[in-house]
Amino acid sequence: MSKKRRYRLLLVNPKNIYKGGIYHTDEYSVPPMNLGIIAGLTPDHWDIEILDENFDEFVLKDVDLVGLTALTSQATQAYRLAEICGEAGIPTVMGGIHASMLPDEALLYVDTVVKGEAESIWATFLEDFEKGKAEKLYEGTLQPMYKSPSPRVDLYSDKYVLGTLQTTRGCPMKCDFCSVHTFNGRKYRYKSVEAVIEEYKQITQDKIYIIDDDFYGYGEYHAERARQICRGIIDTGIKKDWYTFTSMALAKDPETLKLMSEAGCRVVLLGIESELTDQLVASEKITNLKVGVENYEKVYDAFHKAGIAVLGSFIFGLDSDTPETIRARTNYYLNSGIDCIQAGMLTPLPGTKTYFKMLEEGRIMKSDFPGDWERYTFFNNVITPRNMTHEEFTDLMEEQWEVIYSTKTMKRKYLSTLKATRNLNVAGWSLSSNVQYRNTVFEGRKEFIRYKDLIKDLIHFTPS
Amino acid sequence: MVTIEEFITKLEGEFEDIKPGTVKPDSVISEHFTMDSINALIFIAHVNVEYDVIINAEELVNSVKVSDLYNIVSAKAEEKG
Repeated sequence: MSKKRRYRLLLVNPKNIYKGGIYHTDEYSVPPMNLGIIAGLTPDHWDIEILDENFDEFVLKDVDLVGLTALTSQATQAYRLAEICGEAGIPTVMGGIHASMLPDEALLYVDTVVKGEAESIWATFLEDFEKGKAEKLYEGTLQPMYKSPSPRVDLYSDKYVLGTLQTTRGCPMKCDFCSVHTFNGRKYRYKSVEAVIEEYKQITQDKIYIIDDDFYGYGEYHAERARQICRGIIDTGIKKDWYTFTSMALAKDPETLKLMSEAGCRVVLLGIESELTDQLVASEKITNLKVGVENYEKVYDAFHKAGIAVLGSFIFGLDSDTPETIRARTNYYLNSGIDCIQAGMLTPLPGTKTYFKMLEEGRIMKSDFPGDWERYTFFNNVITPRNMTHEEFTDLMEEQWEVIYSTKTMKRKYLSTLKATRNLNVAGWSLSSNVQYRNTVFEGRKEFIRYKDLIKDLIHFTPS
Repeated sequence: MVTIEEFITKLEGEFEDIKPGTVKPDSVISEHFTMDSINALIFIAHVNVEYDVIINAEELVNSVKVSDLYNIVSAKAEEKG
């Protein structure tokens, strides 16, 4: 029997020049889990290396294939790297959400695009590649998550501060600014509790980012699954702090909240988007509408009672936004129980309803693609909102960020989180989130700050 | 620096279990506030956030009455200008 030839695969996570602040620090960095999964899907006769440009410079290597992934904001750099590889005669394949939404664009730079989730199609692509017959485009179909391998964490750099874990995929909502339901589908899929716990045990970091779109899910069956995961984590006896994304629906389930807290959950990101009902209607943000904006404070209280901080994700620049509503949103945050904030600008990501609408209306102002994709970070203004000029919106957001991410505000929020949760770890994580966003927003324009220094300044205590 | 009355009002606001108006300048801190480790940090952080003044644990512990704490904070605030 002939021995299979060995192949070499280099998987690359490209950097984004506008986003260094959130990825480059010794206080926050996460591994590219999708590349770990691709590595897990790759047969044993391939030698694999994962290179994260956020840590290590890309240099041409003697490999058979280079695999690239990219969020939209990383696409520009992914194409640059693909061109370098092309000039050296090294074949390239690209996956991830950007190439999946715009495969024709990606094919101008790479040899092959894997569109959608790769689990169903990666092996076929590699077989074709080995025969020298790789197609231009492979389309993955949505698979049950038990078919997704554990990511090859052994290939990750040891520089990451956080580990990653994924327990679910898919989102039944169809928010018009979001591309998750297009990429991962609207059916809620999940890993077995046993598989999640096994992966949890493999993580070496003390902190974990559970990268689900909604850890809690929809209905009692999913709620019980979330509780089983928490019990499983507790039973391992391995204590780690973690944060995840979920919806406001969780606030009505104190039992699960308590278990999450006991299992190490310190912060949850809630997609609040707006505090105005008409804007939630326009964005089709059904979950929040069901809760009702008048009940938002009760939601924050429920998380606090369990000892969990709330990272509120807001969108500024919605179609009905005016300078007044934007300033009011900032004031809402300052006076609310929200602990930390992702104050992002409305960004028309490819594949979203927002993208197609704004394209049609000529309101996308940064459209010199692929160069301008680098600006699609949520903290660069790429649009003209309906009720403001492009320049007015840019200035207005600068004004909001100066308040939201001022040292004074961040310290105040730290104090209120400490009061509400009475937990130093929770308050510290919440502050670190604010500091990361602050450093990203003001990257290259203001001095970089470290959250541990802020805490030391505030209470003369340096967290570990 | 604010007056001692304003100082007390703001301090009371940090603790949900304190009824507004119950703390006076001569009140003994430990009789009104449970001085566990988290509350001590809340005191220290409150003073930093409100008055941009740093007090340490020793200064907090040595402040028997609210007016003692106020005097330390106001002296430091004046020193900072």
